[in-house]
Amino acid sequence: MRFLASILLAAMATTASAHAVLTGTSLEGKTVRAGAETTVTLRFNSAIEAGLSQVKLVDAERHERALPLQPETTAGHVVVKVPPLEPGAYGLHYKIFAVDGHVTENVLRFTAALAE
Amino acid sequence: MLALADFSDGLLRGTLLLAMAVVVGAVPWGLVVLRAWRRPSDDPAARRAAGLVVVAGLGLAVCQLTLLGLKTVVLTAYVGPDAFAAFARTLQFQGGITRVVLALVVAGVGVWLRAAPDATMRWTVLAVADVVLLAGGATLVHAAGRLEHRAPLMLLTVLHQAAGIVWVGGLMHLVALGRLARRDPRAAAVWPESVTRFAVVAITSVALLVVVSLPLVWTYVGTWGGLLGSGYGSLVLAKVGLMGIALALGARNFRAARRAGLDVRGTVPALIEAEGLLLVTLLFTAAALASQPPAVDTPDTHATPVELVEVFRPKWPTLTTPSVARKREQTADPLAVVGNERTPTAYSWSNFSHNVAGVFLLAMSIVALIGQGGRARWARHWPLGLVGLALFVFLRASASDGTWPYGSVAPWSGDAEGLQHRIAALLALGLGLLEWRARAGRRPGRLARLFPALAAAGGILLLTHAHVAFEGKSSYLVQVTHVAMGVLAVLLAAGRWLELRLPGPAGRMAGTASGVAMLLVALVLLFYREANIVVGVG
Repeated sequence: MRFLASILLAAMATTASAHAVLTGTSLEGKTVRAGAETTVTLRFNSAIEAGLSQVKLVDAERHERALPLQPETTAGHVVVKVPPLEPGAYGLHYKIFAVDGHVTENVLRFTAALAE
Repeated sequence: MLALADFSDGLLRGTLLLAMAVVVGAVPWGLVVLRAWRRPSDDPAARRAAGLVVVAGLGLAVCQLTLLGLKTVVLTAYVGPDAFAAFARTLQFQGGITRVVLALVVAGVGVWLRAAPDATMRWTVLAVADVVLLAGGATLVHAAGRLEHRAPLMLLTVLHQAAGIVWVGGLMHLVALGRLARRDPRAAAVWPESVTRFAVVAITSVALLVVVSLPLVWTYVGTWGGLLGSGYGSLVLAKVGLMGIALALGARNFRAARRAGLDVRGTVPALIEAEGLLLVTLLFTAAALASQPPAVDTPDTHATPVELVEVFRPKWPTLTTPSVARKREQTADPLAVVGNERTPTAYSWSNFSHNVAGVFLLAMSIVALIGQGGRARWARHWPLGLVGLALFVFLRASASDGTWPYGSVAPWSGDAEGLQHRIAALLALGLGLLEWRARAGRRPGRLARLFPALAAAGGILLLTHAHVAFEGKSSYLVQVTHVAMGVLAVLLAAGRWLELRLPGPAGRMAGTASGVAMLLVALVLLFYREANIVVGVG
């Protein structure tokens, strides 16, 4: 828990171009268990062109790692598998091309924490 | 290049809608207003309408192709070199290319129609091509990506577009006829009946527009909070406001037309031109709306009425600024991959810039209103204040971005907002010099007409101004001031246009209204406090 106290990252992120908006995520508490793979679902208000969308994992040193998008089962949902992480602050940097032609770029922040 | 693509998107979409309006509006114009089949094949009014279809069809194709090209550039930068192959498989690309082909077909039909505008068959072919063009556009609207009620929303959007562009397009054809009629007696003979018949087309279009807009607004806005407290809602309100003013002007035109005996050199053409200016702005506002997330999808970021009042209420302006070095300091947030959170320094910087611009404009508008009385001849030099304002805006944008004279960053490599501010500075400079020459000279002539044109361009720029690089609610609280100033700038332009075109008291009244609009823009700037955040100077 001690590192959690040192991390006060807000969930709110900035939007570079807007139309598709993130309406929900499976990262409800913005915290994932460190050391375990986590499936994350991002829910958008619009249908997504998966071939032109991408999600990258960003760490506190700004290193980015592309995460393959899982096959789409529900319209407007983007699913990625986040690999096991060390405890710390991370972001999911997503670039989404919606079916209506607008690009949305944003960062969803979360933390990885050891289980209590 | 990305900044340019971002900036151009709204302007290109607005121009595209205008071209669509001219193309689609041509059919009711030719068949209902001109009744072209009853006229000779060399009728100048019908030939002019067909000629406009050719130009607008080509313009539509160019706009759509450019949009596809810019989207490819953006996607390549985001996704990588394989982006085009993936983009070519999307509904957006295929719908866009279909629209390009259809626009070229429409332009071809326009050429064919121009050769024999009395042929009903040719108008029918144009009507069919227009219907296909409109229906094909269904895949390009926001509704195409919606997760619920997709098909009915697409249908409603297309009907909404059709009603709006028939009204605006018809008015563009009426303006063109008015200009032609001044030098062509055959066109002048058609003018009176065209004005009265167009009123029927306009009323029908507006009625349909209102009917199909209500379910769309209900679906995309949803609540009063969304209407008043979101970027989407503010643009909907701007559209309603512009439409209301245009309708009031239209009603006045209709009455004036009946009273004045429809003289093509009377007041009606000028009033119709002013109405046209408002409706063109309406189309650009519609284009800006298309790049906003619907209010119903962003309930957590809506501003409250109290926050809105706070944005506009009178308050003491900020007249001290953070240093350039402090402004350029980056935040140390390692996860700020997409822009940075707004810092207190950024807020203070922005407040000072806007408040000082308000001081410039307040002084100018007061002097301009004094000059409106006609006795204080010195007051005609008020436009020189715009030159000072342009210099101020340019220096602030340069200092913020590190471009010349504050650094070596290329002017086009900054963000879209910086580019917009530099273009705004150029517009202000052009406006100031042109208007000063026009007012200080004895015979202003055509030069004076550039001021309303540039002021309207400035208003459109403000309405399509992208303040999306920071958090939702604060972004909206900035945007709402820009939307208000955009609408006021267009009213200023329309007032000045009428002042130039109308003789006597009507012209003077329009001039005063224009001055009042400028004063209101000045007050919005003077009381501007970005996102209501009060910060000290760093």
